[in-house]
Amino acid sequence: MTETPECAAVRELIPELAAGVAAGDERARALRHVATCTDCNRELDAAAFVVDELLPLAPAVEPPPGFEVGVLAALNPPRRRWPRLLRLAAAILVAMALGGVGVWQATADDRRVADSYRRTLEAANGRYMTAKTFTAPDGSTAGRIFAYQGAPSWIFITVKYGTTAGPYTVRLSTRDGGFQTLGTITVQSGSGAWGRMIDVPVSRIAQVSLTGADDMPCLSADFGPPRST
Amino acid sequence: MASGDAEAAAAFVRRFQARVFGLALSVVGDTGLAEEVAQEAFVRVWRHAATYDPRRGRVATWLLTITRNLAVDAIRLNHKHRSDPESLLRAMYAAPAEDPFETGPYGSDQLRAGLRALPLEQSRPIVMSVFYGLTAKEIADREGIPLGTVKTRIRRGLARLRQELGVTDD
Repeated sequence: MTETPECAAVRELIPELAAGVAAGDERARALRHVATCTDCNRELDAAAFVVDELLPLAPAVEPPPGFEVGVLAALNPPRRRWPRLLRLAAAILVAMALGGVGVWQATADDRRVADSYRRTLEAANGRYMTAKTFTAPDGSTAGRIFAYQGAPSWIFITVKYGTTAGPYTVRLSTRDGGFQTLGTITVQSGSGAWGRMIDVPVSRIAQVSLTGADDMPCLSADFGPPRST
Repeated sequence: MASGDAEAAAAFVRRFQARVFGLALSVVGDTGLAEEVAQEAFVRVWRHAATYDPRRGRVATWLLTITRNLAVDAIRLNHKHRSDPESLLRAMYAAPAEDPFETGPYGSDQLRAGLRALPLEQSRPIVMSVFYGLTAKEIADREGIPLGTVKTRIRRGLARLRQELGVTDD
């Protein structure tokens, strides 16, 4: 085995190559050499093995409640899961709307619907549910957001707008000026759906916005004005 | 695993979620961000399961490497630069929990002992590089020590850890 000057230069970089932090041009040059040099290749494999073995030494920590549900919702194809959720959300919304009218009209039938809505929320361990529309820059309705206050609280977003494709970042602002990024909704051919649990009370939400790439419209759903201080 | 079967997905997530979330949290130091990173890691692995080559190593290694890469991207994107490896090192030195899915603790005991035996001047830059994704130049700038010194310390530290794991050039 003969160590060339290039071998010496690459060996210097091997710890960073193994850790995946070497800069692009250096990395490309070193990997070209490693592909043709058995000794450097073996050296890189050994360093990468140590790096791989270091990662499991990080302490295992149980994630917050609801993590598994959120991951599984993201893993399973939306077509298989969302229609059922949408139907549930729509049923609750219809019941809520009818329930509100029923109480106002004080008719027996509508009171039954209102009672049904209350029992639905009770069974779902929830307090209330609301829905808002996403408005596109041209003023048209671009989607909807359902927000459910319960244990846990969650939001579910549907987008149906134009023919755009790509990820939108979902951001939530609160009435007291808070701000958080909730995740990413992927829109294909103008359609997409996404949901997750939230740790902000629905009553504190001021706005939820969807921001995409520069050539994509910003969509926003207003829940209420910021609280004056 | 590639079939997308819901039960298999649930078993997969339960099997690895503590390790994935723990690693993400160790890197980003923020529960909310760690949750996002861990979720994305599971999604990436699940969606690309068909491309997984068993010859590349264990699934856990693949999953944790993806988690670490996403976590490093997240701290760079959110400007949450980490420079406090001691607390992570202390957690890594500590006796690990038993892995409920395997007959033993998380990670290699030999490597843990080797890491504990390393001088801090070597273990510190190793953690900053492997877990926080910092280049030797970035570590040198943060620690205020020459670049060559950082590279030497990382190289010597990794070489000692290799010996602990019984990895040789033969």
